Amino acid sequence: MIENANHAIAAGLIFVIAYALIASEKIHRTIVALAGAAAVLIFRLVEQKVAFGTGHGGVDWNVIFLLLGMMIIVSITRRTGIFQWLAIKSAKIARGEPIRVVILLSAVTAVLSALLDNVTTVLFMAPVTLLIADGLGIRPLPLLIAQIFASNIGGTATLIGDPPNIMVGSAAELGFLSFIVNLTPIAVVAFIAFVPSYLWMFRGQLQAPPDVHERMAGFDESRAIQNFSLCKRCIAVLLLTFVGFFAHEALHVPPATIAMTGAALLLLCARVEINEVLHEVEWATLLFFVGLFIMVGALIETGIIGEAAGWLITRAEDSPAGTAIALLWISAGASGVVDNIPFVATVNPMLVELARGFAGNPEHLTVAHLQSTAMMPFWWCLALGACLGGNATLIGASANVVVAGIAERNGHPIGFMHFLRYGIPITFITIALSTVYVWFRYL
Amino acid sequence: MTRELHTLSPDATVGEAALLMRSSGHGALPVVDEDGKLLGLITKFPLVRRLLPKYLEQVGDLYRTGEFKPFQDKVAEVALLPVSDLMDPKPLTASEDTPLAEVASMMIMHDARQVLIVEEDRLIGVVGMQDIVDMIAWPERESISDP
Repeated sequence: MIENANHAIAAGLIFVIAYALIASEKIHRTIVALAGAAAVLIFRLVEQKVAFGTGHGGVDWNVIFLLLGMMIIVSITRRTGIFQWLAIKSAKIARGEPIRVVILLSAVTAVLSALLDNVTTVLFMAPVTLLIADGLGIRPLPLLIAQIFASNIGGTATLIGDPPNIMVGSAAELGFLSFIVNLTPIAVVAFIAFVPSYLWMFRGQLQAPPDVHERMAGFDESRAIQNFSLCKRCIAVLLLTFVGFFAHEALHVPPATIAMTGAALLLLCARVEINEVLHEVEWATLLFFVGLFIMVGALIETGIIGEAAGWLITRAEDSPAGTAIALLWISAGASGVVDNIPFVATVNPMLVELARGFAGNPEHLTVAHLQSTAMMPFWWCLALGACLGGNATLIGASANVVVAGIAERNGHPIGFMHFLRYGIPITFITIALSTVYVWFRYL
Repeated sequence: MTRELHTLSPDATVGEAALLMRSSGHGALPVVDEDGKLLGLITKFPLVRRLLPKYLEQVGDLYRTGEFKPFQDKVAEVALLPVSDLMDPKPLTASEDTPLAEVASMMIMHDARQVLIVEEDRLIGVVGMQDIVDMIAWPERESISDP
C-alpha cells in the first residue's frame, strides 16, 4: 500500500506526463520512456537495484531478450530474400487478381506475424507489397491497410507474435503452448471474420487493369533467393527455434532462452558480419520497453499499482465475468489511443496483484496462483484486447506506425481518419468475437 | 578549372537538363539565376534515383523480367519537372584561392565529382575530378586557376 504519499504522487505524475507525451508523438516514445525512467530513478521513487533486478518491480528481461533474440534471427533471415520470394509467389498464385492478392498476402502476413513478430513482419512485407501493387497497377493503400489488420490479428495467435503477448506471457509465466491452445483458435476465427468484412468495406476499390495477368507474369520470384546455402541454414535454425518454443515448458527453459539460443546458433552458422546484424536490431523498441518497465516499477514500489489493484480486486470479486469482459474492451480502447505496449506494461502488475488477492494474499506468489482458473480469463482478455485493439487506430500498435511510415515515404500517406473508418469496425468485430469466445470458454 | 560553363535557369525542365547533359557531355549542371548567382547543382544520380520507387532500397530488386510500367510513367513525369525540384540546393563550393588539396578532400569526403567555384555567390567556374587527376600528370600545378 502507499507509504509515502509524495513519492506516489511524483511517480504517478511522471507516468501520466510520459503517457501523454507518448500518445502525442511530439517526442520519440523511447526518449520519453528513458527520460521518465531517469526521473523516477533520480528521485529514488524506485531503487536502481530493484529497477535493474529481475524481481517484481524490475525490468522484465525475459521480454527484452525474447525480442532481441527474435530480432537477430529475423535480421539474418531477411537477407536470404525468402520473405520477398513468399510475397511474390503468393501474388503469382493469386494470378494478380486484386481480391485474391489481398487475401493471400494477408494470410502470409498473418502467419509470419504469428511465427515471427508482427512489427518485423510488416517491415519487410510492406515494401514488397508496394512493389507488387505498382507492378500490377493496383492501388497500394487497400493492400497496406489489410496488411496492418492481418499482422495484428496474426500476432495475437502466439506468445511471440505481438509484444503485448510476450509481456503477458512473461508476467503470467504462460508458455508458448498455452498461447497456441488459448489464443490461436480465436485468432483464426478473427482472421476468417476479417476477410469478408474487409472485402465489403473495400468493395469497388480493388480493381485491376485489364493486362494484370501479363503484368503478374513479369514478376520473377526466383531472383529473390540469392544465397541458397544461407537460406537453408536460416530455415533449419528457425524450425529448431520453433521446436524449442513448443517444448520449452517440458524442458523447463523460458522462451527468452530459446530465442537467444536460436539467435546464437544462427550467428554461429550463418557467418554474417555481427555489426551489420546488430545494426538492424530495433534498439529503440528494446530501450522503450526498458524505460517503461522502470517507470512502472516506480508505480509498483510507491504503491500506486497496489491501490489500483485493490480497486480491481473488489470489482473482480463482485463480478468476475463482467470485470474480465470490461478489461477486454478497455484494453482494446486504450490500445487504440496509446500504443498497446505501455498499457500492458501498466496492467500486467495489476493483474499480478489480482492473482495475489484471489489467492488470499500469500507471501510468495506461485505459478499456480498466477494461472488459477479465476485468473486465466483476465490474462487472455488483456492479451486479446491489447493485440486486437491495436487495429483501431493508426497509432494503436507499432506495426501500424511502421506501415504508415513506409507508405508515406513512398508517396502513399495513410490518413489517421481514413484508417479509422476501417480500423474501428474491424476492431469492433474482432473484439466482439473475442467476447463471445472468452465468455463461453472461460466464464 | 573550367570557366566555360553550361548552366540552367531554375525554371528549365528536367527534360531540358537531360538534353544539355547529353549535348555538353557534362554529368553535372549548375543552376543559376539571371545575375549568375548560384542556386544549385543538378546531377545524374538523383535523376535516375527519382525514376525508381523508394521501397526499392528495402526490397533490394524489382524481381521482374518484363517491363516495370511505373518506371516508364515516371520517365515522362520527371521530364516535365523544373530542375529546381531535383537540384542539390547546397552543392559543394570553394573560392578561387582554395588549395587543391582542400578541394580534393571535399570531393572525397562528400562523394562529389565536382566543386563549384564562386565569388560573392556568383558562379565563376567548376573544378572537376579530372582537374585533380591532371595533377598526377602535371604535378607543378598548385592552384585551381592554373591552366
